Amino acid sequence: MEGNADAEPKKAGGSKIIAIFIVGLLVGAALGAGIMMVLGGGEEETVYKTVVVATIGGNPESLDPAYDYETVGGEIIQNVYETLMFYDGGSAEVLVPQLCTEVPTVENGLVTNNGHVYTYNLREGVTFHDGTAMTSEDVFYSFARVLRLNDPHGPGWMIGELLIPNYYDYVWANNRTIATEFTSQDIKNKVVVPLYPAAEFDSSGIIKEYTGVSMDAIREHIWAKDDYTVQFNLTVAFPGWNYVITFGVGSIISKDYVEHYGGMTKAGYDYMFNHMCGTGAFSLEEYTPDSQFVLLRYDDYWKGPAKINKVIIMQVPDDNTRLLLLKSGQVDIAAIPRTLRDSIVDDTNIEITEGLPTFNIDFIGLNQKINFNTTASKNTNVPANFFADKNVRLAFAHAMNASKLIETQFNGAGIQPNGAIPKGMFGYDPEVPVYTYDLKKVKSYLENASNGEGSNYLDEGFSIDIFYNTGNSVRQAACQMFKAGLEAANPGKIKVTVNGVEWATYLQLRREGAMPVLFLGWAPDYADPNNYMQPFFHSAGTYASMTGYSNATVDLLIEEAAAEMNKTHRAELYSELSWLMYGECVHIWTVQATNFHCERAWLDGYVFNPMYSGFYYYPMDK
Amino acid sequence: MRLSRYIAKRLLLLIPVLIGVSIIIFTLSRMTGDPAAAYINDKMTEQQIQQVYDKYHFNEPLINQYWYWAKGILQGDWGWSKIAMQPVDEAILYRFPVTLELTILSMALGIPIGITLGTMTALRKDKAFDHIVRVISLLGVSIPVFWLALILQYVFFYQLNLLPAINIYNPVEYSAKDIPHITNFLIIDSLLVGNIGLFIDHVAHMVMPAVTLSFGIIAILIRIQRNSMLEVLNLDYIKTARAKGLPEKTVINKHARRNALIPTTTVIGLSFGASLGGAVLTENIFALPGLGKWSANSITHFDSTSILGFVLFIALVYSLVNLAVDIIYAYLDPRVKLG
Repeated sequence: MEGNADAEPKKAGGSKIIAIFIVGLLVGAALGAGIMMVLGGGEEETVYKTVVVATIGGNPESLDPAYDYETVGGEIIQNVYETLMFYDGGSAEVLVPQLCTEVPTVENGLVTNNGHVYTYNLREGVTFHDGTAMTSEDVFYSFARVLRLNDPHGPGWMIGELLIPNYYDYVWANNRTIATEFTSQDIKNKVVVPLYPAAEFDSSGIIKEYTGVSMDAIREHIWAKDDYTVQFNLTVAFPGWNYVITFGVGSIISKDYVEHYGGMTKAGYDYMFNHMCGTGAFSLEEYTPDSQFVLLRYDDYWKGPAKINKVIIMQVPDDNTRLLLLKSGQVDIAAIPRTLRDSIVDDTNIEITEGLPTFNIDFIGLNQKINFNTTASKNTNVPANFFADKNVRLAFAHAMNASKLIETQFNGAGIQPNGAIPKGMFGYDPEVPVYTYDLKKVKSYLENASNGEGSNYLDEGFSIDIFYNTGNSVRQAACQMFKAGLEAANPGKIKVTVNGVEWATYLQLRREGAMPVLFLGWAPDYADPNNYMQPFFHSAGTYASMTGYSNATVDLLIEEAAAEMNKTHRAELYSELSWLMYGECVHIWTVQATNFHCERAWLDGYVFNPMYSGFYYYPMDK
Repeated sequence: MRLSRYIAKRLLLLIPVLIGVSIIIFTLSRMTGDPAAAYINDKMTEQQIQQVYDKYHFNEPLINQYWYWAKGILQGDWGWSKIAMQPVDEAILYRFPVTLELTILSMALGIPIGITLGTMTALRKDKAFDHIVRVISLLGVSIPVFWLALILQYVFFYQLNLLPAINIYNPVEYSAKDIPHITNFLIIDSLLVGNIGLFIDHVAHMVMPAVTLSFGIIAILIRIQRNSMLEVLNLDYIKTARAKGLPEKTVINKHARRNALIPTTTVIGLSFGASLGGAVLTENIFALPGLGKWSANSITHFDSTSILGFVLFIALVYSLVNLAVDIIYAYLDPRVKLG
């Protein structure tokens, strides 16, 4: 820039006038809107009577049941689409027919071939939101498009592993011969590629032939026998199948609608990412990312139209704003943190439902094959198989004060689990005890744990680094409890170093297998105990393999319980497993969360079910 | 130099600036942690985690990662926003109008108030009015945005029921079909389609966020304009103008305030850029679907692709705003030559 002092000044323009206009506009609009809000109160109230307004946590991963695997999208899917069966009110155990006429059981003859074949008679007269009638073709098509897409991060595995033979034989060498052994390094180096990877599309948007599950395999296992009968041929006997397809992945979509917008091509899947056409009580009117969903009542709903004509689900990130909206009556349901409970507990216009157990379990995995990161674990002197000794695991379990953790970190809103199966689910055995904080037991178990040098970990002590991700106060508190509980057993000789690390570093350490104790959480995919026992304890399960636990007896028992069709015997098997795993102490169970729900008192019809994704709006009224 | 040539030159200079910015932000984003963190959760198997690394090239050397990203940017592929569940460029374009509208409204409120009060306090130096406004300005700088926003919500929404608390329009009264998308600026589009009810409803929704965001701007402008005016009022040419017998109004408005606006313009430019990139708390509290809310969400979820796209975009906008400020300098001060 250069200065020129001789130049003539120019006259100022009319910016002031524009500014005054805009300020006046804002003030005028504020006053206008205020007057409209005050004077128009009566009319607005009438409109609001038929609308339920709720809040939600964020954007969905997708609105396509073939892809979505989280609760935001799950809530919309649950209200727009329907599955063949649904939960009976608040019960996660009892299923009732929805798009089928009868829940298949061995007794009614719809489960045959020793639990391998499930037959569903479909309800007639059900229409999709596009007006077309639902038939067995739609049911076949809905499941087929999940398996063709076969998204490895989506929910497709739930039906794939039960329907498709060798579903997990994923590996295929470049020359298309099946590799028998491989490592993750092989995949990384592209030595091998998955046999059935997620659908890949060619340049014209068609799924490449060798990707996704083949249509031949799908046709072999899902039969549309006639217009209103569908048969699923499972590869294994599994009594939990009905629960599996009651998850969102079993939602029935209009074949005509999907085909009209591209079918099973890239264009078709892309379109269904944020468009929906189901048979549910509500259709999707609007989805505005970062802002809101609007669901409209479907008047031709087969059960009869819902009492409310519109559901607006808004994203309101701030806790205090949500509180004001609920207290003012502008929203009917809002997610309010328990810490703000005192602000609403005495408000007669607001009803709170709390203390009911969810199926979400937090636990601590004890790594039996630690791959120490020498930089991060500089204070550690225990061997990699430190936790392979059951005595060490039990000492850690009794050093953890789970009830105090629930009290201080969850405001008392949780139950200490006694094992993998949550309270309220089939197979839960209330007789199995919980691990209690007990210094005597800590000492006793450490005394029984040999340190491999002719002594034990109590007398000789040990030093170990444990980690939590910074900002996670629950994990931090749990680490401090380990430290306090263990160091008290032999002060000076036992040293537990608590390290707070960034989330990315935490994940990196987890990937390396470098963390001795892992803070983990599990929310169910379907309401069957196998969805807990298998990942936690089976040697092929996610968490058992992550912590290096393998026990052939346990594997067999899990497989036997999973396939047992006799309900009574199955419950006994799960009880036996629960007691066995209590003794094994593979993981330490810290909390089964309980619910905290706030709504306006004028709202009726809310039902809590631990398997719901968010809310089910059909029964609601006000 | 002619204005058009100056603008062209400055725009060309933007290229190395943006390359430099992109290298810095990319390196910083990779230094702050594993970019795969946004895509990984507790339930994933090792195989699934590996797929994430392969898909996004996170295992490759930093220079390769930068190349993939930069090439994508040039080809119009800014990556996938995990938080928005849409391409980053679409996420930005979708949210930018809301943030820009909020910023313009807050500026429209803040600039005249800040400049007027700043000028008035300078003319009443060390008098009661000056002290009162200075205290208010100090409060304006000190008050946390979230606190002010919550107080406004509590008073004007909850207690007085005068203004709506959240969103950019009332979803009970207006469905998606009623919302025009001509320029994507609802304040303009509602007028273009002649929907006065929607226009009033929308502006009413923007009042509290705009006031919240403008409060800090007003406070800063008062202080800058006051100091600048005091400096100018002591200059010889003002004394000359007064000695020549010019009316005081002409001296202040034509000669003093105009020159005093030059440093204020710089601050306005900076505040404009800062508001575009920093309306995080305001957008969160008032649940406005703008860039601030999205970027804050991306940061808390370690969505590095979104953060990179957002920062690059804001850097671009900042550079353009700076260019605009330089052009406004020439308008305000004819001694200034662009070149």
